[in-house]
Amino acid sequence: MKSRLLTVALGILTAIGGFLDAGDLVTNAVVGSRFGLSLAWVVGVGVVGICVFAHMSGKVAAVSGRATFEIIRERLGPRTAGLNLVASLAVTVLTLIAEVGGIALALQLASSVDHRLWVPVAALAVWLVLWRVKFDVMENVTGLLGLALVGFAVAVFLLGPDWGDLGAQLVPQVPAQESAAVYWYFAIALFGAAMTPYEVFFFSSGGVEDRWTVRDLATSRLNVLVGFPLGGLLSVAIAACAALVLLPAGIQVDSMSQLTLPVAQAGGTLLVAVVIVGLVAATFGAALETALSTGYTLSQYLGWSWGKFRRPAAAPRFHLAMILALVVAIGVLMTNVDPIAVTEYSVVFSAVALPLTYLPILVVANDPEYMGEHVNGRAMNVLGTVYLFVLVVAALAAIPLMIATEAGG
Amino acid sequence: MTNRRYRQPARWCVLAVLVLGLGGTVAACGPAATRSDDAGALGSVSDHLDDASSAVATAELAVRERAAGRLPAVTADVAVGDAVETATGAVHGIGTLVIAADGAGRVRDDALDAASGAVGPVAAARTWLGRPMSPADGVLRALEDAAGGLDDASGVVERERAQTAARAERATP
Repeated sequence: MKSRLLTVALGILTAIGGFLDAGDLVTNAVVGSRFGLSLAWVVGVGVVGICVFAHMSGKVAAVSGRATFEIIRERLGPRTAGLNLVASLAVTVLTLIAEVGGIALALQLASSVDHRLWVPVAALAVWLVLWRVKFDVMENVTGLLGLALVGFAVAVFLLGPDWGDLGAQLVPQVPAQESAAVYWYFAIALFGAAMTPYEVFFFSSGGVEDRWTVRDLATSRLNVLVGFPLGGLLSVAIAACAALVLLPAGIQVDSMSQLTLPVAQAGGTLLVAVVIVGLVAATFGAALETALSTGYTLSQYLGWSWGKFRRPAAAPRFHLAMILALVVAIGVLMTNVDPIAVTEYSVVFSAVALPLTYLPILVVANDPEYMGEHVNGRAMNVLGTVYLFVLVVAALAAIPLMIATEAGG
Repeated sequence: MTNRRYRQPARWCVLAVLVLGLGGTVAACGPAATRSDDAGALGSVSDHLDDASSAVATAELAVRERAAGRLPAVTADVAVGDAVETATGAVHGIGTLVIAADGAGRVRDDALDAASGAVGPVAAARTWLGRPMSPADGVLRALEDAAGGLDDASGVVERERAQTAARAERATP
């Protein structure tokens, strides 16, 4: 019983610590410094959405013992699944580039050594962990260290805000100095950051790696329903820090270093050090997850042997796919592209790819051939359908809004 | 049969998404490229001045926190280094804009002076970080002056932009 409780607690803590990635960190800080908390509602909508679909894909893995993408290919055929693969893979590789860049930027904060020098080191470290470290160790260590981002929530309290004023900012409204188009562009970016496609593929494949069965469904549900919303609160805390310190000072976030300024004002050097550990862990954990997701999706679609539960020699193409994705990430980042700009684009293109990723999950979760008695209930289907509608609207609006607002101007 | 019926629309959808994506990327990569009229160019000047103001404010906050011992030296150095890059980028952005009308051109030149004037104090803040024993007052005063200069330039640019836009509207048949 004690061991079971410990497992559940560890799963929840890991889900909280592992919830945030470079996209969440950057987008929430940018939004907080420009819109205050008037877009915090989008984080809520995104968190409920990711809970719905992560729960579905976790259930598919636990009930069928197979990862979602394997079943999608089998159930929908190679052509439709191929479209899903192309969209998800493109966005996942873009997200991987952003995460590796994020690790480099976070390490730069601790060392003052230019991030371009950290990029190959970061990618090499990611590959070494993927090659050598066990799945559960990798997941738990990065997730638990990522909890250091609680430092942002602590900073909000230490800054001693007027809670009434801060609460009033939660009302959705377009600030006077911003246009409605820019407001909705950032709403879609935040939504894309919260519902990044790789998360569900990682979640379901991770369930297979951890050998989930129907008996693990309750644990999986708890991880998602408790861990993700608490992770979402950390997102809002980052936006609140920016809203309290950077917005009044007229600072628009365009670098990761600016995230540390409100924390320094609130809690001094110790809290800054804690937050930097969290930034490194969150981006490193997300880089591992995105690299694994490239391997998972490609291998599951093409029928290759996959998984970290196998020795690398037993799943060579799975590991090769991850290595190639990391090489692409290094190559792109070495062109001197701004990692923050890559991150901003990655969350918007995530939004574009969302319907292609999530519709097949809803279809598979309703197929009794795979799910037996565990097919979705009516409430879950209503939620899933409502979200699909929102996803389609966000996907259709993302690129026109990007053009109209010059990517948020 | 069914697949064939949907193949053509699917191809058009993929093509439309690609064209929109490419257009979006091009539009987002270079605001100046899409703003060939003077009012639009002054809008870009205004955006770059906002970037420069943000860089100055970032450097000021980093120096204050460092002077109070609340920000580690390496992190402060990165924050101010990033601010220098942003301020320099703003100067480059304003300097490469082409404005045809004389009045708007002069306003652009003044904005360029204000933005160039902000780079020095931000760079000086980074130099100060390397000498932690010296007082921060001089550095902070220079940053405040630079911020004031940028605010004034922004006000002038916004007024000129409104007038230019009004003139263009009147000239349109």
